[in-house]
Amino acid sequence: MSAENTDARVEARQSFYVKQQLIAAAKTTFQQLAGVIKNATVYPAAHPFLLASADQLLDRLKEFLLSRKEVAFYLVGGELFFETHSVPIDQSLSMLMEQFTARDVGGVIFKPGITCDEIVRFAYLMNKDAAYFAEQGGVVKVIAKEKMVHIDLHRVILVDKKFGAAIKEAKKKSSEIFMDAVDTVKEIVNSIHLDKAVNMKKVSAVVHGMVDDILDNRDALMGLTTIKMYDEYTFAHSVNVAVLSISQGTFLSFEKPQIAALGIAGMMHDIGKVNIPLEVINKPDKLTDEEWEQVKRHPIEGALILSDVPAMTRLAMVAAFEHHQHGDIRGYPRMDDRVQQHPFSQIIAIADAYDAIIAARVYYKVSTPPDKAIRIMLSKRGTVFNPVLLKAFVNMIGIYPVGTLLKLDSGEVGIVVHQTRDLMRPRVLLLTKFDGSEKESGTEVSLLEMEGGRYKRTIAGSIDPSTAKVDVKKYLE
Amino acid sequence: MQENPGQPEPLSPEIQEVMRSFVSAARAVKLYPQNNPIYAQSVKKSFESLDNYLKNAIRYSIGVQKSYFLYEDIPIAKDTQLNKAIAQDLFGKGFREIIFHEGLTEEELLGFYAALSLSQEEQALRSGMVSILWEQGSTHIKITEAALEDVITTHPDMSRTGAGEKERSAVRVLPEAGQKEIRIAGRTLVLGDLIDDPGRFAANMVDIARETLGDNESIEDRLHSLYQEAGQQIQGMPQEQQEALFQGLAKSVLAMDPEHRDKFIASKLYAGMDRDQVREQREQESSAEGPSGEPFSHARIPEDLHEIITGRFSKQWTVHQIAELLKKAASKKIETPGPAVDPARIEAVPVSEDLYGIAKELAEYSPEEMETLKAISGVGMEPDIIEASVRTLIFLITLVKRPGRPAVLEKTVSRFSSVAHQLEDSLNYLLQNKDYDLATIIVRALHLPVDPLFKPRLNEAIKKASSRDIISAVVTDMRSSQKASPEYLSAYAYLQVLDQEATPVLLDILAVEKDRAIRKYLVEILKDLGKKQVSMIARHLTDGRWYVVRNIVNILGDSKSEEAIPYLERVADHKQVQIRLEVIKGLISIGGKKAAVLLTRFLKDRDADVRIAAVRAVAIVHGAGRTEAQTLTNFLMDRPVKKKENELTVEVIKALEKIGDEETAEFLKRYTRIKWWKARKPQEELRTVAVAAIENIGRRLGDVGRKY
Repeated sequence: MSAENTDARVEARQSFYVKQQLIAAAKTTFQQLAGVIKNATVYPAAHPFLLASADQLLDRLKEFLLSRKEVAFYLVGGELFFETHSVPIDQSLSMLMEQFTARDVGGVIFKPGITCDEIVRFAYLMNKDAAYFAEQGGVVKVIAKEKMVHIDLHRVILVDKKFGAAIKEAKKKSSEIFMDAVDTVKEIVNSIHLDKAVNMKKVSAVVHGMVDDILDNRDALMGLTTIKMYDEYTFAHSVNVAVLSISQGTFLSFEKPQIAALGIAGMMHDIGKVNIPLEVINKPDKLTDEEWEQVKRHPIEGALILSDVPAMTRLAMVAAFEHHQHGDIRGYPRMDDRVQQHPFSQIIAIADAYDAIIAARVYYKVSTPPDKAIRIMLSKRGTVFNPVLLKAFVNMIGIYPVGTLLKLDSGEVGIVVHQTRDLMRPRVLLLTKFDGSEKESGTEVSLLEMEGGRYKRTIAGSIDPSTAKVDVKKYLE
Repeated sequence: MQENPGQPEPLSPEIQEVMRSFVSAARAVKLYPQNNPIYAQSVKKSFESLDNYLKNAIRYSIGVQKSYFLYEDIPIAKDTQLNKAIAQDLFGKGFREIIFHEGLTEEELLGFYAALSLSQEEQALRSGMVSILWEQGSTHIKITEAALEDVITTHPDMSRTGAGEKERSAVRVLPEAGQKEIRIAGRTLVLGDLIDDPGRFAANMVDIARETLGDNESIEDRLHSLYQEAGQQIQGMPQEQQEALFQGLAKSVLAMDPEHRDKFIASKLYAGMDRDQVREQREQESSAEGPSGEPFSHARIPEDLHEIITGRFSKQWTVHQIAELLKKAASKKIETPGPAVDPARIEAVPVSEDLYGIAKELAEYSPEEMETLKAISGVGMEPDIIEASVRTLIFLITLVKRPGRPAVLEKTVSRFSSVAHQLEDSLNYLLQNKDYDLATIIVRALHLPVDPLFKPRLNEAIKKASSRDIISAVVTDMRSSQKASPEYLSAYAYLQVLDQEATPVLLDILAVEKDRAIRKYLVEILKDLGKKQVSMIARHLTDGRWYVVRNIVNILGDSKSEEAIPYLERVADHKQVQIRLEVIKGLISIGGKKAAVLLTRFLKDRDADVRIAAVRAVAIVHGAGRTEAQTLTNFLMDRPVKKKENELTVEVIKALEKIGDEETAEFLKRYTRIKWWKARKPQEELRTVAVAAIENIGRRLGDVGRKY
């Protein structure tokens, strides 16, 4: 495992709460840097205003440096990262980022020993024309020449390549993991049908693989959940729910064993359906009320099945039993109203419903654009779904999830490949041939990218891949 | 250069010209309105070239392939871009062959092109091109659409065929006179195969599907169209034959190779039905209300159906199920794949303005939300897993049996046993971790009313929950906690909820416990627990160990229940003095008339200490009165006044002092007179006690008089 991945997992172990606080602090720091650079345009080097703002930044950096070896900001495709965390940006920050990008600066790293003088000199330097840096042979050389030993700059291209390669490599592996998981669900179903022991070792191994993959790169596996396979959907849905739940678990910085339990629970949530009589489930007509009642018994059946599987995490049984047992009147099986769903069941209920809505577009031709799907989910905030978990889910999956086809105001068509901090500005792969070839050779852009103080591209609307006859699978597998 | 013998002869310029003008006209009618001169000119030119050709030939046949045309099976101008586009369009609309016959009129051709200009939907609305031409009275143009038209015919004598061998000769292809046999890969399909060899029929269908596959069309799409058409053909046949043929059609589907079969059934047949159900529900949506008065929600539809879709784990479809789905499919319009579209020109669903606001609101967490997330991040650990699983298992206890369905007894009991086993495991874990609150909840659940079938298993679980080791551990924990502390109360609640199961175990522990302090502690617990378990505790009075019996008597006495008196009476003559003394103590504790009466029985006990204890007890027991006083006076009546017996007599007099009345006082006067011929000292002792008693009785009775 690479050092980079190890770092990522260490980061993932930080609690969601701590992470959010860190991101807020990072944003303030970058805002302070923006303030110093702006002051340097109007005040001389010894001016108290400039020095005061540089001092403030210095204090903040020193605070950060108490617990880390360096304070690193990266600019990737219009997005600002503090170490590996995406930082929300506003207009003032985007102006500074644009200024950096124009000077070929893709990363700024402050090291221990940084002084106020260095900060001020750096601010003046950043206000010089882009042409100046070109003449001097690039920013890295200028910094070296200026002897700012406590500030390192990275060039844009290096950072972009580093991030891009990681995403592409992960995608290759993810499709195999996904199909392994589908096969495992099939195997489980067969075992249950034949009254044979469920191979829990295999289930755990597959889920662990999914967890590792998602911890490395959430987008790859999550993108695969948008692909619907008709004949395998009964199995793929279970995997989709597992993927979405694991992703939610990583997003919320759960511990690895928690995430794995969540994954297994997600994979098993509908297992009770194997006990629905075949004549009901394969009925070539509408179900009667009595038959519906049999379908609605699947949470009970699932819990009963899972309670009998040795080594199965108990949470799988709980989630199977509770995943429809929400506060809404339509929740089932109806139990004591005072009993609240376990948070894992709440996470799985969200993933289950979301996959159902997305599937509707494919299976029943119910046109539900991605943003509409989110609106439907949001309309059930606080009644069916835990509002806070739902909010986190939408932040994780995006309003336009990975795999969504977008029409941009530039006239271009793109497919979402990664979420950013701005739910309306994901990273997209621009499509020109629509045959999947862009996956290897196409251009990936961030809708956060700016030019002249304006966003280069903005979403104009979403496109239904089936209407456009674009095989999204080719871009996600 | 040697000529390639396999190369077809080049087509004549006339043939090519007809094709060129046909393609031009087909394009023109698509692009221009009828009143446009180009439209009219193109159609006219096409007629002229066709008319010219048909002067020397009986027909002009155009085969429509996916991206090119055929003239009598020979590709024509295959690489021409214009031809490709028009061929794709016509193929997409379902055309497979167009034949112009000699005698073709300009009016017929005009009507044909006008129909050609219709959109796919418009054509479908009018039941397809064949119907349109038929309505126009066109007799010199024959269209073959993507279908099994003309190739499927029925088994004419099927309804009459006996059990013997079916006549293959009866299964025939019967093209209409003058109608060309359809060429789909040079094959014909006969319905007889559906009965005799559905596998072969399926294989043929797959082959045809492969060979006639359109752009943007999967094998399953094509199979669907073909089976739809086959179904429609069957629906046109006599009613009595339809069912058997649909069953045959279903068998052929099930006989396909799994790759195509599964996809076809799932993605076409079931998906089609699901879509119809959604459509129907949506139609109701605007006007109807749900059964609960809740409006049908757009968002609800996929969720409901989804439960079915994601439940179709099994691929064990029946012939009946597939036949029904095929019937449904046959009653629907056949969809042909639409032409390729340019994704870049597709209209996007625009972003509504409020979405930016929603996105902004979603991106920020309030401090309360952060706190909630912080709390959630701690879940999924052992304690909450146990709690949640216990809760679920308890719910399951009452849900194991499926309502309204005959269940396999063994299986049902086994399922229940598994739930009970899980609860036992949880209970052991909780007890090990001294989590008595949750353990108590489990034990309470084990007492829930269940089907008699499951009761033995629950009893078994309860027995395990009240094993000697467990109860000992609970008592140890109680002893190590301060009385009335939460820990103590929590452990004690566990014993309480075990109810009758805990008591015998506690009694057993008590019987063998060597440490007196622990014994005392156990008795204290038992006294409390035993209040409502008199009969059960009393069963242990037969124990051979006298100290066990003494403890039982002690507990029974402390129950303060009159119910215990008959049990105490049984051991009132126990050979062990300690037990008899314990009975007396118990009777005092219980009190009441019955206890008092029983106490007087001890006046005849063989042991002096017991007799004295009994008399003292009568004096203080609540409920003793005239009757007991009478018994005591009777007892005194025959007693000699002797030194060695005086002790008991004194005690009786003292007792009478407490319970006696005027009559008693009168009786006691006999002790106030000293008889000279008897020993003086004992008489004086008795006189002193009797005088005091008489006085006190008088005082007591006087007080009562004042009071009442």
